[in-house]
Amino acid sequence: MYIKIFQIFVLLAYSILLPAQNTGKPMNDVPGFKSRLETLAGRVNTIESDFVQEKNLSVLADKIVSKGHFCYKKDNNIRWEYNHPYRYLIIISGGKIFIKEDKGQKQYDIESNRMFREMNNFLSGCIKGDILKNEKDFNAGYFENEKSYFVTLVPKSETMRKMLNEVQIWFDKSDLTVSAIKMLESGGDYTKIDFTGKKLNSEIPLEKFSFK
Amino acid sequence: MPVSWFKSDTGHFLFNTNIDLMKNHFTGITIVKPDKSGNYRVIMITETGLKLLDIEFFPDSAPEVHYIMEAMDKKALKRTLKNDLSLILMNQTDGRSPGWLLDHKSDTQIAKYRISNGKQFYLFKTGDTYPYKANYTKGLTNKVTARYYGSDKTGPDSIGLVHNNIPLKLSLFRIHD
Repeated sequence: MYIKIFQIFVLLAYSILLPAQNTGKPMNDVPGFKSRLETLAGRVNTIESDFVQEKNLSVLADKIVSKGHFCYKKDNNIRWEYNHPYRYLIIISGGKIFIKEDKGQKQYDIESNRMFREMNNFLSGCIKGDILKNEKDFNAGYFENEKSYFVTLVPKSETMRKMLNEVQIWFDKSDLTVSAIKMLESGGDYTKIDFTGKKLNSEIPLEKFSFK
Repeated sequence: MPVSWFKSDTGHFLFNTNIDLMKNHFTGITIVKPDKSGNYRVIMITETGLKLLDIEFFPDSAPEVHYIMEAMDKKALKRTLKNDLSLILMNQTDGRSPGWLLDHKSDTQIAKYRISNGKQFYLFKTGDTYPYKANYTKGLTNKVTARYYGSDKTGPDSIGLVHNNIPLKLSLFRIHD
């Protein structure tokens, strides 16, 4: 299960906008970018968006596409819900993780599980922007083009690299919100998530993060 | 001649997947990709897209594991998954003539195949193209039973596989793209 949580943490960043996929040139002002990102994280209390996830497998001609909705509320309340072509729900709230799918549901305690705790810290780091300061666990590369900032995160741990070679995050230059995330595996397979219909600081009731 | 539910010139099959092992319940998505040479590629991923395993099955040689997540990289688990998926896919039956048994009472024909580590049996209602049930036996023990649900028109809708001597169950529910 902690694998799934890591996946969530990597995916769940900020909010959304139009995707911009080009890499571009090395970023001019990395400290400035990080600082502005942190400032934005401080101002954002809620995030809501739709997402489209594409799974690209080299053996398949077609991508596997799934769609859903994402909600975030300070502090550390996350709701990640798939509604097509399958229903699957992950809620992180109050130190617990709740997973619900068609055939059942399960709840885990983050604090009593070291791996869950580390993953939760990773997630919080993503949302607050601290993740880009985590030089202990990741080698980061910073790039920009006309429309986007683009960050690459390469895990330092060999164990982590067996699952994910690299994570790429695109930030829209106009408001520093995340427009897309791409997770690359060995052999050319990857998962890409595009965020659309972003809403920042809209009213999201706490019941959305309830396990009922 | 027995035909696999997964025989297809083009396309792939997508399933919601549940695995119940002891008291643990795992879910994910299984992709089955056949090719014209009788090979099958089976990839399991989590709903969030993380790859769990990638195994290729051949008609006349051992399966090849292209990738398996470290937590699942245990000899016994790999062997079990390979055996179970091979039973469901019928990859080892391709091009081979089975021994036939007939149960007049239930109007069932049974195709029997000897494989390297036991026997596979596939049960058909008279006139049906695809099996409704499969068994894997070793020695005198029926170790694994799989049931197929679907039709000639829709292909496989769901498959349930149960181990008869260990608490392990695999359930596949078709996702139509």
